[in-house]
Amino acid sequence: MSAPLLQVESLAVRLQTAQGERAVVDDLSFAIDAGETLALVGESGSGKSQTALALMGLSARGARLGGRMLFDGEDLLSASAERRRQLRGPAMAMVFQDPMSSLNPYLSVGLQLAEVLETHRGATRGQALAEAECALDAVGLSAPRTRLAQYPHELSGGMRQRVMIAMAMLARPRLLIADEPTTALDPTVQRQILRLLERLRREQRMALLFITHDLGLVAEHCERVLVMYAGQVVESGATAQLLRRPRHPYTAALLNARPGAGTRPGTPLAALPGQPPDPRQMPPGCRFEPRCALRQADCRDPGLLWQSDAQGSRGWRCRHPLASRG
Amino acid sequence: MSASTLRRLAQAVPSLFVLLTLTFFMLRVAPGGPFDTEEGITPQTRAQLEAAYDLDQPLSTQYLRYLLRLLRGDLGPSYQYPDRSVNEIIGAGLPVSATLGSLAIVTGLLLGLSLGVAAARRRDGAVDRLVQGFALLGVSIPQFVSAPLLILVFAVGLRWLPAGGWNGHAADWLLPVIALALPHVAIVARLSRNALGDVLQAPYIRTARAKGLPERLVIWRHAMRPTLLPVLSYLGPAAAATLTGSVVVEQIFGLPGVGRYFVQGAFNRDYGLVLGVVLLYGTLIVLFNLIVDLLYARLDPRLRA
Repeated sequence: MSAPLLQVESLAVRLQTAQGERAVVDDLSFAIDAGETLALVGESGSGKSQTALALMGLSARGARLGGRMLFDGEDLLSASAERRRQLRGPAMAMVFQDPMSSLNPYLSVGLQLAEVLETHRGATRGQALAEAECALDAVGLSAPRTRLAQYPHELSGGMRQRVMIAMAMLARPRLLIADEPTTALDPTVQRQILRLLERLRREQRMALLFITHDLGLVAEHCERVLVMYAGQVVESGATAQLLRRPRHPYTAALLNARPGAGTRPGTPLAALPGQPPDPRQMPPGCRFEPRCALRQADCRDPGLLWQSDAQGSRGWRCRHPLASRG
Repeated sequence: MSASTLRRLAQAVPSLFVLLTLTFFMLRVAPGGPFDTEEGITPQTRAQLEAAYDLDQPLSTQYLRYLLRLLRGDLGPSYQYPDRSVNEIIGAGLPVSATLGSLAIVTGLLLGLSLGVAAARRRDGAVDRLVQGFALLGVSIPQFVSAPLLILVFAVGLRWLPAGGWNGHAADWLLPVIALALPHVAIVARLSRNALGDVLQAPYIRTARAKGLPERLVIWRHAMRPTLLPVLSYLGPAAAATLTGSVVVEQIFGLPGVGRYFVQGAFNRDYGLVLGVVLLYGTLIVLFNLIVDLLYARLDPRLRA
């Protein structure tokens, strides 16, 4: 078996805030193979986006990173800032959540696309624009030539997200990180964008790290999933297995909180009570313990370890996991 | 020139008319007259002088005659310099003031922007603190302090540059331009430092970095336009004021610019001269605000419609 495209080992991200240092990602490990889709699921503030930014080398100034990130065997944390910059684009690219604010309102679509190729391949403006036109065509935008001369405010939200995707794909990245790429879009457009990402991934054998809070999307589009809570992975495994038989109570609670096909209108959803823990006062043992319906006396003991099944394909961070068969 | 630009220019005419009218009557409300300071003139001479300049006519007649002359582009006579018209005085002073002023504005923009960018790249870093300190100093030291200090250091102390005067040497310009530019450099540095600092937090800047663009492009291509907007809002009116000459700087360096005449004119109740300079200043304000608006539209595509 060859080495994975991206291997993350015990990643830790600590940010400087006005209240002092805050650990936003803790002991995060995972790997993605070329061409694979991995989902990173969790509620707001669980550390998903901070993980993505750390991978891209775009963490806020003053952030302290620990652990290891190997991209195609290259250690990202010890790479120079200049080397990280060169990697952004041809090695890894990112699509952001809000296409309204993620494109520069002052610059034409064509320029924002062309500069990617000018930077990474030394293309001339003419070559770059010609290729940008093809890229817009490939993401399903009509009249791509006209689009090049337009500005972001002249495009709809769905069109802008297609531009964002075309921009991320231009340098043919081997890993695409999509951070809630469809959250700001309406449901019909969501489906189109997801299908587009799926098609591009297959065509270019690109790995996709798909960040979302929507388990429905995960079920449809991703092979494996990591569930994050309060900066840690609480459960990981193959999507179908994990969704059918969650081992961690948090995953189970997330699944219960979504409306299913059989949910009748007016039925209240099983909302998860309580709030995620304050990062300055993390519970010493299981971070989910204060909200967990199944907590036991020893859940607060420190030294909670990651456990995995015999094959190592599934893991969970819980002393009292739900039964694997039931 | 587009229709909207022409419309804006047409709108400026009533504004200037109001400015002119207000200035005309306010000058007359102020106590004293143009020949009060003349010594030893007989009442007859005084009456003759006033008749020569229409000052014996009712105010409304004077106002109408002034307007009619103005329509022909004639700003009238100066009461203080009988051999020169206001047109001639402004024509002689404006090139001096405008040359120094435009040099000062360009220096303010280029140097201020460079300082602001250097400061914003590392907020709260050593460079930022230095620039902030300089900016505070630059806006708080008035020119009647900075100009003599410059003379003291570079002309009297080091003897590098002339202390004043206007002999057509480039060296004559240097100290006045520095004195004129200093507040502009300081304010532009502050404005651009704050604006760029905010812009660099924008999601589209993160996108630009995520594309792997070098920091040079991130700043000068992606962040510069929104940074320039507040700078331009300041520089437009500031340019109008600086080009019409600084009273203080022209007085201290002994330069024959418009600013000096303006103050002397106000002291001497030289109605025609003051009106002429006010009108020039007003016109430049209108003009530069128009230029700023056009530049805004150039910089921000959302304003082009």
